[in-house]
Amino acid sequence: MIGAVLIIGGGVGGMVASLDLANIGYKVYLVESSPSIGGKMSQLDKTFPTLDCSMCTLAPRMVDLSRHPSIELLAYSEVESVKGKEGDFRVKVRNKARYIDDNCTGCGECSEVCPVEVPNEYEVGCGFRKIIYRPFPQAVPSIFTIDMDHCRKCYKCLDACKDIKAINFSQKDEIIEINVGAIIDTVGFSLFDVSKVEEYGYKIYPNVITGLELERLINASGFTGGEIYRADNREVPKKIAFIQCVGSRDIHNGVPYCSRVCCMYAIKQAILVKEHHPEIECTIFYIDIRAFGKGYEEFYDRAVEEYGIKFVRGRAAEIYKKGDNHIVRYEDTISGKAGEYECDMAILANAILPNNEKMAEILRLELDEYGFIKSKGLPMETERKGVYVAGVAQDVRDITDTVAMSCGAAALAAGDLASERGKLVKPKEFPLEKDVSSEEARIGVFVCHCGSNIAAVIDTKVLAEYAKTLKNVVYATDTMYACSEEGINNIRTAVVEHNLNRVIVAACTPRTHEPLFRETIQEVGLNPYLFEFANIREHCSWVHKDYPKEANEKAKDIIKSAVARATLLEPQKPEKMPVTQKAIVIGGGVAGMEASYQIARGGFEVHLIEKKEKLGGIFNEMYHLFPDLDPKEIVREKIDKINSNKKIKVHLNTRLEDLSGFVGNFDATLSDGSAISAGAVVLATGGNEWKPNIYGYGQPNVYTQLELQRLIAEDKISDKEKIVMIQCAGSREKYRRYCSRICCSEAIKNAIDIKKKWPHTEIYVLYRDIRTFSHQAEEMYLEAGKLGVLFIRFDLNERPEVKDDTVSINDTLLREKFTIKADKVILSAAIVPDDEYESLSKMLRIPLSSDGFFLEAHLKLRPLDFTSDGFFLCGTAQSPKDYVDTMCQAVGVASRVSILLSKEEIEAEGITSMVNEDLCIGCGICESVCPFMAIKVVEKDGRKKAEVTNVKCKGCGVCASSCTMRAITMRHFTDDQLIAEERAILEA
Amino acid sequence: MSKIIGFLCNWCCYAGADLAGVSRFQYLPDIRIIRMMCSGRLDPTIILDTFLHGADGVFIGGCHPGDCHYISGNYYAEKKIDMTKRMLEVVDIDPSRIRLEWVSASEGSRFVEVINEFTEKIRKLDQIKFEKDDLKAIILSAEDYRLRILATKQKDLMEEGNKYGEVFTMHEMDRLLSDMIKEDYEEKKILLMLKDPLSTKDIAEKMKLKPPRVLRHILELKKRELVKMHKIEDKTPLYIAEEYA
Repeated sequence: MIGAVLIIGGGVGGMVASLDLANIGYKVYLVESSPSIGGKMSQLDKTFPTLDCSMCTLAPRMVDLSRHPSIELLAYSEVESVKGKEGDFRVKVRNKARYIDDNCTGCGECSEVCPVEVPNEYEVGCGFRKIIYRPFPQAVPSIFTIDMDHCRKCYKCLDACKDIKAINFSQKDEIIEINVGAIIDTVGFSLFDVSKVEEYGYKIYPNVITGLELERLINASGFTGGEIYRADNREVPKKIAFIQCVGSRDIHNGVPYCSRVCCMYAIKQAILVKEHHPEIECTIFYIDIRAFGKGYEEFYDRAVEEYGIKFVRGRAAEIYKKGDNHIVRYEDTISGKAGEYECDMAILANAILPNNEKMAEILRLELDEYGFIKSKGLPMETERKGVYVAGVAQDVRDITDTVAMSCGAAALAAGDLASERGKLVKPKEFPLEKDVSSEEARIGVFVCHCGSNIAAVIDTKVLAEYAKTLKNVVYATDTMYACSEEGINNIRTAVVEHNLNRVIVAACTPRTHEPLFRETIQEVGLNPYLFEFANIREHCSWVHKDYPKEANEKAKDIIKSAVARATLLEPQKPEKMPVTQKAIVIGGGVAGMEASYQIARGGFEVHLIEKKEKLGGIFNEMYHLFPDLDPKEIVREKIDKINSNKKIKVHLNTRLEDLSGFVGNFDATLSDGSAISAGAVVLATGGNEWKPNIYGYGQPNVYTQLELQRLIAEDKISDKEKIVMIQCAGSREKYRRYCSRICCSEAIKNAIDIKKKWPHTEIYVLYRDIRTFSHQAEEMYLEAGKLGVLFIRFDLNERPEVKDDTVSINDTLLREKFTIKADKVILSAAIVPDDEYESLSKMLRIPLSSDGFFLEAHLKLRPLDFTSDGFFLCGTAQSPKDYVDTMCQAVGVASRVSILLSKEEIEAEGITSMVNEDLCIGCGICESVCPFMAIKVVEKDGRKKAEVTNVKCKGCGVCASSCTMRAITMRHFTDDQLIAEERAILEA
Repeated sequence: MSKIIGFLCNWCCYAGADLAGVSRFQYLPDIRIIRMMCSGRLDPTIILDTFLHGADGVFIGGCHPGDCHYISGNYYAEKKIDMTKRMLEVVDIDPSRIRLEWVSASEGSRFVEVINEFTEKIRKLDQIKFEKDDLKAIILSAEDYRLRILATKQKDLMEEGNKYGEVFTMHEMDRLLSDMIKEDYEEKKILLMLKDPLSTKDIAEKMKLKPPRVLRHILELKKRELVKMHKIEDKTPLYIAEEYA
């Protein structure tokens, strides 16, 4: 077996899988066909629903990846052939000629002199690039590529590069042979060609563009610099129409399935347009609004309430030109009227298509009828052993779900190769640290433009000049993207050339980018704690664009205080501590069982804690699972897997009573009195079906969907019964804003089950939007319609009423009020967090989100982690989800946990407190305030003195501010440093 | 524009400020943010030092009660800031120039509301006025171990009582704090005045205190060998701080 993994596709999914596997201890080969990794996510402006800057969250990971000692990045390469079997694949990769050698510094001077421009693929063909090019500034690797198809061989670039001589016109494609134990396919997707839907006039009318084109148009680093204007006359549009489902849910022109992300991105784009130009009217033409993920419904609400975005329910029939403008002809299915909407721009949300043909053939994988890779067993598993799939290659999914699934694929590959872990990798080594203790501070300041994120408001050149005037600053410059590989190289070079011993980056927030820059200066021999951040983006340019003059003054103050602080920074040496290489998994439902099994398969002991008397969780109450699975069988299989693995210890009828310690070293007390230790804690606490207090629940004829499953299984329905299902019972309401995600598919599955068993039943599904986002669910929705299930749409302001056996309803589509005498009323009740979430949140000190589920570290890129180290989550604990998505997360969390548990020791915080024993009088006030019992008064030479246990200290500094003699110094946040910062700001 | 310094804890309020940025919420640009790991890190002397150096207002942002990343840091922050406000009052600075707020990592919009409201309030206040020596004296008090014990131990004294088992009521604690701060401040102020030799009467006049009270402070300072008699002039003893003797 070979302890190496091949990842095919360098989009966000492939990147996540690569980083996880490399961090667990495997050699990774990442093959990407285009010149840079980053995939589609790198083209996006912001991500929904948090409106995080897409590039800002992705770029640090791209850089991490390119610098990772265990990852070999094969960009601009394609897999040619795969031979062998699981554990030992032999792969041929064609490394395409870039005509640039690896000594390219990415300076860009060649591109400056290149006389030919062609449409830029990264800008979806809207902007232009040179023939010798880098697709975007943050590209990784940062080296250039020559587009030989268009090159006119003027050789001006050769002259521009005469010092470095990186351009090599005789370069040839190279075939590389690699040997890996597992393969992960994350090839991503392509987009539906909207010109096929002729009635929308794409490519005929310049102002009719696709969603991705708008994404580049809004993006501050895009081809218009973030200015939204019409392509024909460069004027700001007054009205924009967003046309949904172009090619999706369209059996005539496109594909029958739903593309899942378009509703949300259209809402996001409309919000972004409104933020640029509040006066632009945005109207979204939709069939159903599918806002089913965490925080999505709330985002949709904001679009309506805060931004005044208009929504029209109806598919657009055609777009035609009228004068300078366009007319969208549509039928509003709610008013029943045909309408014409005059707009000057139309955005087409084109379908997402699989892109599997080539790789599926090479990997010998089977495709489903739409061209997605067929999975077998777990969603990540394919027909071929040792080959896994993640992301859109398997089915359409958003970034959150792609990331979870990619972690899942990584966990499965890691599990296969557990015996080879660590054999092919070497830990990252840094050069010997320079001793700077006797040197005066020599500070370098790097002021980042962040594209236009900072530079649009703040004059970064002036700021860099200003920094040069400050004491101890020996070097200052502005830089386009400090976090890009080029930016990082510049910092490294400057440290060496100017003999810097402190580095300040004036850019974004230390909360995301500090680790990256700390490592950067470590690579050139500086202690990481000699790095300081000046946050001029989140705390300045982004929040004060209305006050540009004041913002520029503020940025100066921020830099001045950073310089004052940096002058006083001292190197810190974090202590190392051992890791207990075991995990605790809380919750014995399907998520907890699968997570436990996968962690154990990776080679680590697991304690699985379940409060009830048996494993299986809510699946024990289910009889038939969407799309066609047997929940009882699933539970049985998982219990067998767990029982057969000796590394898993199951604690039934047990609760977690107390948890102390810290990442890598937790001590847990269980309700049976036993004590266990572990390095990581996973919350797989699941959710419950809400017990409704609405729609007559409590009456003998009113049930929930879960109760209905039992009625179906026990044949307690008779033919000819009338059954009314009411969707969104307790979801998408003022008191519970979120969508419960699974109820539409659940109701439709149950309706089909009834119809198949009792064909003469009449079933009415009362809904607000049908959110069957997976392709199986969408198929079932169509099937239900064919079987005669009637779907009736209602509005929240006139919801159905249930009185005894009478359901009254206002059908918004037929615009008719009527009543149904129902034998049974079935409520699709909300999925709610468990009662114990709040007490767990308090005990473990991990946060809940506003919906009551647990709050992950980052919705898009870290959905399985908490911000507190050592804690992880998966499944419904994070937000409601179906079995497929739960399995992606449950397997995925094993990968996240393994990163931590695969290390024998982890480094403690470098920031701990320190006692000056000459001043300490042993009063013990520090001991009384320390929540971590990290500081204690002990006898030393007959005197009482406080003493700190560094590994326990978390660095809050309460002891320092409480010390009666001011004898305690909080490292890295000393009184002197804080005072220096404050005084620097205040001095005139 | 006013000068506002904001001390924010890394986990909640700083993250909330970051979220305000990510969400592009706009707010008044007066505040300058200094990051700390925990609001409980903030020493009253540092807050007072900002006023001494020209701050118009100080904002402290921590985690909501119960949410502290370090369990109880925000509780101690609250007590220390309460003490600091009392200290400002003693030197005739409006204590509402200090604002402590709990803002979570997800409350970007709340951060903006709170900062705008505080900034506008500070902008409306009259120019801040104080004698530098007054503020220096109160900083010395904040450094004094007796007040530092009291700032931290309030909860214990009110819940568990002192060494003799005497539990303090809220009212008693309030009185104890005001008395102790005032007494200590007077002492420190006298100490600072005694750079130059002065009589009890001189001091009493300058500080608008009754001479016996001043004498009591001087005797106390003498006992602790911080002040000594300089000389006797017209039958009146003049004192000087040891440091300057």
